[in-house]
Amino acid sequence: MRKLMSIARVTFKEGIRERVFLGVLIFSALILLSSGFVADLSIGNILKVTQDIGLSGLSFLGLFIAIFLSTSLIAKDIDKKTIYLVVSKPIARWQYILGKFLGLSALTSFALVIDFLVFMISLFYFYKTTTFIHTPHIAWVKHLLAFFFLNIKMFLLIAIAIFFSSFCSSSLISFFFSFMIYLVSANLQNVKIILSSNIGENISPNLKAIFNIAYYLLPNLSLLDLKQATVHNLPLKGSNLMLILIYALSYTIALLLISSFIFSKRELN
Amino acid sequence: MYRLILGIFCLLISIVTHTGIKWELESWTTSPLPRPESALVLSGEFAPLTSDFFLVKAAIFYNDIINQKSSKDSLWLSKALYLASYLDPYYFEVYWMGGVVLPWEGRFKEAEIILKRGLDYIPKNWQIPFYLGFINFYFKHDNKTAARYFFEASKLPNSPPYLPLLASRLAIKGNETRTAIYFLQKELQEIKDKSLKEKLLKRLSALKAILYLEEALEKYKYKYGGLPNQLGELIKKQIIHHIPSDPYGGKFYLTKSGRVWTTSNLR
Amino acid sequence: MAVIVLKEVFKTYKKGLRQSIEAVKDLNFTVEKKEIFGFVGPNGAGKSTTIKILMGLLFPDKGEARLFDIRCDDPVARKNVGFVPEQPVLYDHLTGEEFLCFAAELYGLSQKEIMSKVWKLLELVGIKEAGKWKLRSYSKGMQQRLVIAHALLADPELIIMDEPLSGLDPIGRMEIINLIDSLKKQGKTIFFSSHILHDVETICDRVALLIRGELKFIGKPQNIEETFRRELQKCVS
Repeated sequence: MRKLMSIARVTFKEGIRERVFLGVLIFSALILLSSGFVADLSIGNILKVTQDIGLSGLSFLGLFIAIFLSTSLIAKDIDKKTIYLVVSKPIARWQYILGKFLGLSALTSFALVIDFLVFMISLFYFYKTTTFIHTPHIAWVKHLLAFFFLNIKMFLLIAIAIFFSSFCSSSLISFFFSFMIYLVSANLQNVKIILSSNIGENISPNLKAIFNIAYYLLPNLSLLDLKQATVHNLPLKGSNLMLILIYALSYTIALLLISSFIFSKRELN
Repeated sequence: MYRLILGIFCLLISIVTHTGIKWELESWTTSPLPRPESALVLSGEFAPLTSDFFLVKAAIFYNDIINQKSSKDSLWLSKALYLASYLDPYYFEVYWMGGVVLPWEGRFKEAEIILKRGLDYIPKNWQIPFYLGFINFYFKHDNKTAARYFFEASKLPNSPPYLPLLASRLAIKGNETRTAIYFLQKELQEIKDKSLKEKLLKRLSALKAILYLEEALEKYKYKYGGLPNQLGELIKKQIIHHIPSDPYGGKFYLTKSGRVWTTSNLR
Repeated sequence: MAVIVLKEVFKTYKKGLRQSIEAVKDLNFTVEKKEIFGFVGPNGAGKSTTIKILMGLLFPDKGEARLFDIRCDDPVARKNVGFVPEQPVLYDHLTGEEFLCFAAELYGLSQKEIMSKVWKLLELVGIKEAGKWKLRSYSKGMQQRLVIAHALLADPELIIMDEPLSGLDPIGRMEIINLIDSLKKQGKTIFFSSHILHDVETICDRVALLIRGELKFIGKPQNIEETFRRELQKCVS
């Protein structure tokens, strides 16, 4: 356990000290801080737009760290051969993978917590200072829930990034595959809705069959996206959320196990 | 050093030439809209934010083309609002704009399609069935369907108390203009946007003028047993002193079916 | 008991779809306890490949490699081993002290042991004053010393070094040779590689000569020179 935490700590420190990380964190905090002003320029429900900007900003920040930073930090380790001084110690390869995962997850959550606090303060300020014809209701508890599931989603994305990094030879390839999986997985639910509509009647059954396989094989990231439910205060079932949590965690663990297996067979030359 | 000076000089040239360039492409507000399904897939988890963007685009477009609307423009507006509703079907303001703006631009069929989507996603909002009721009543002259929608709206939380009355009035063939005035007066209480408020006030003023003339026609009919051939006769018979002016610049006249209408078509 | 055992080890690298290079062919030798064993050969002979197989970074295609009678791909085999890689690259965002603490934790040392050893080792290798500096500000020589310090953290029985003398100035080389000698006196086993014959001749108890992946000589350093020259001549012609 100490060895895992040691690798996690070094990974966390490495990420924090990356200038790109700090730059993106500050930039996204500024966007979240100004979300109310930006929303004011738009036409429509100001608080709805503020929340949309805020939650999307948080997602974007998480995406950047989970995919871009994860793939580049692991690839850097292998390319620069700093990994030699770690893997040549009496630690198993799975400990390296898990330690990296813990470090990257801590880094992502740390950044998200900071920006989430900034966003909540900004939202609260606009809620209190704006005059409304009918005072809208903000689902504060749902915001916390959405934030929690956003973190779970990022952990899953980090596991995907680690999976590809465990066998891809360059950070660019790992990033590309991870990003493609994200794009497809984030849209699985949307595509399913479209296929079941009247447009789907024109799609060939073979294509539908391929999609169905992909739907169950790939991680359904839209299940972890509670933005709409939060902004529009839609009802959420506790039992369903529990199932989603189990789904996401089991998928993450599966990816980490497969990654450690692949990485244990990887030659580091 | 000379490279720096040369670089700054080139930058100045580019700035100066930029000020002279004319944007010759079509106005960005009537640029082609993506298919809703494509937009949904491309936006991914950012679909609600994309919906906000298209609503803003639609609203700015509507403000910009206030006096020069063509059929193509109103079609674009209806497509933009449909797209916004597709990307975020829980976004009430899209249905609101669809119900308040589109029917008056001649796009009541498109407005109905958008509002019916809203019925599925925001079933507890009384305003959506209300707008559907109004469209059926005022534009489609389908009182039976309108009454059904108004009754539906009246059962929902926070609905105004006059709704059941309105619904029952429609069961009998009622006074359309008075109902439209009720609707606009209620809407004006909710609107914050200045330019939209001005537009609705203008419409309200036109409808009040029509109501004034309709009431005068009722008096004429009661006195003389039938409708006059033209509105000028109302002045001759001293039922009214003058024909009010149309805020849209048109001229009020009596249609063959005995309705008061205007050459401006209220646009 | 032999500390290092290599038995019929083969390793081939694939170069493209059809071509492959045999980096190591039928390697058989052992290294006994408390001896300084030199592994010499020209560049590309297969020395680094052999060391990477021992450290579990690469896996042999055929044969067996063991440390303390444990298979090299088992992490437990490396518990008593200190490793100094060729041209080591360090986590430059860490300080010297942080790096040693990190390595010590990976060895499984307790916090008390770490506290007592880290600064002693920094002093031993002569970079105590740079302990709080970030590694990106270290010179090549300082980095080399730090890596040697990190290899000694767990007081290992076996120290494996890949080209420890390459790229060092004469003073640096002398310091490393003296360090190797002092480690031998402490009863440690040292296995190191070099492409310079003189380095192994002066300090080693036994040497092995590797040419194009094949073992050409194993024995006392005094007897290697003739074989070394003959094999080098074959390589050149």
